[in-house]
Amino acid sequence: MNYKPFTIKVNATVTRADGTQEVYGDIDLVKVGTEEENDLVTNDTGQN
Amino acid sequence: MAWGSGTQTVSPTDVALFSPTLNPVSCTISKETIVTSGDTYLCIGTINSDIYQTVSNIGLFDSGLTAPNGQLISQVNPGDTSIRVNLYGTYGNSFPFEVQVSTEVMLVTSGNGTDTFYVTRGYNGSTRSTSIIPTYTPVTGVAGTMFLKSSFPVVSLTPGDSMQFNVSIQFI
Repeated sequence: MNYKPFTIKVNATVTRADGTQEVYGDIDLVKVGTEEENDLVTNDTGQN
Repeated sequence: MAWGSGTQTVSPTDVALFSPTLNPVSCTISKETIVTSGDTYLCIGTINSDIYQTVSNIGLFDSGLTAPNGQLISQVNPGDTSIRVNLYGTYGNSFPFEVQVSTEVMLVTSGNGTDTFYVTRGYNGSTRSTSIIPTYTPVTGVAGTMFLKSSFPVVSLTPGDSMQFNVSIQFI
């Protein structure tokens, strides 16, 4: 199967009831078909 | 987009979320440019929390339906080929259908009409559990096709909080 390499990223921002924000960058990240394909990064906290 | 509170790690064999909570929301879909024109699919969905809850996995579905989600009412032993669930009637009777029980997918082939499903264990390439699956473990049915699932460290939400997820797929 031929396909273009791609990267999936999941980021999140929590807005608390008092208006403060917490940014969770790249809480999940997977690279498929790239040179880094085997470097799957999952479940890193990613909290900024 | 739907989300759940189960803390297991996702597998390509999964067919549903771990412990889904609340109802799915519609996402805002757009095509963005990061490197080359239109190289990225972006899906944005927001949870508005009106209760104390945790979030540890999300999924993207081709349906906005809420998945049936009961619990085991008795433990499942490694050799068992039937499971007992509450909310039996919410799963429908269109056999066969798949259910997610922790990290294992089971194919429900029939039922007794009240609280017992007869299953094929270790379905969809998942690993049949070699240990006891305890009572109260969620038994999650399928609502549409889940084409992306992500697990991450637990985030706790309180009433009045909101959580926006940005899921991007960038073609390189």
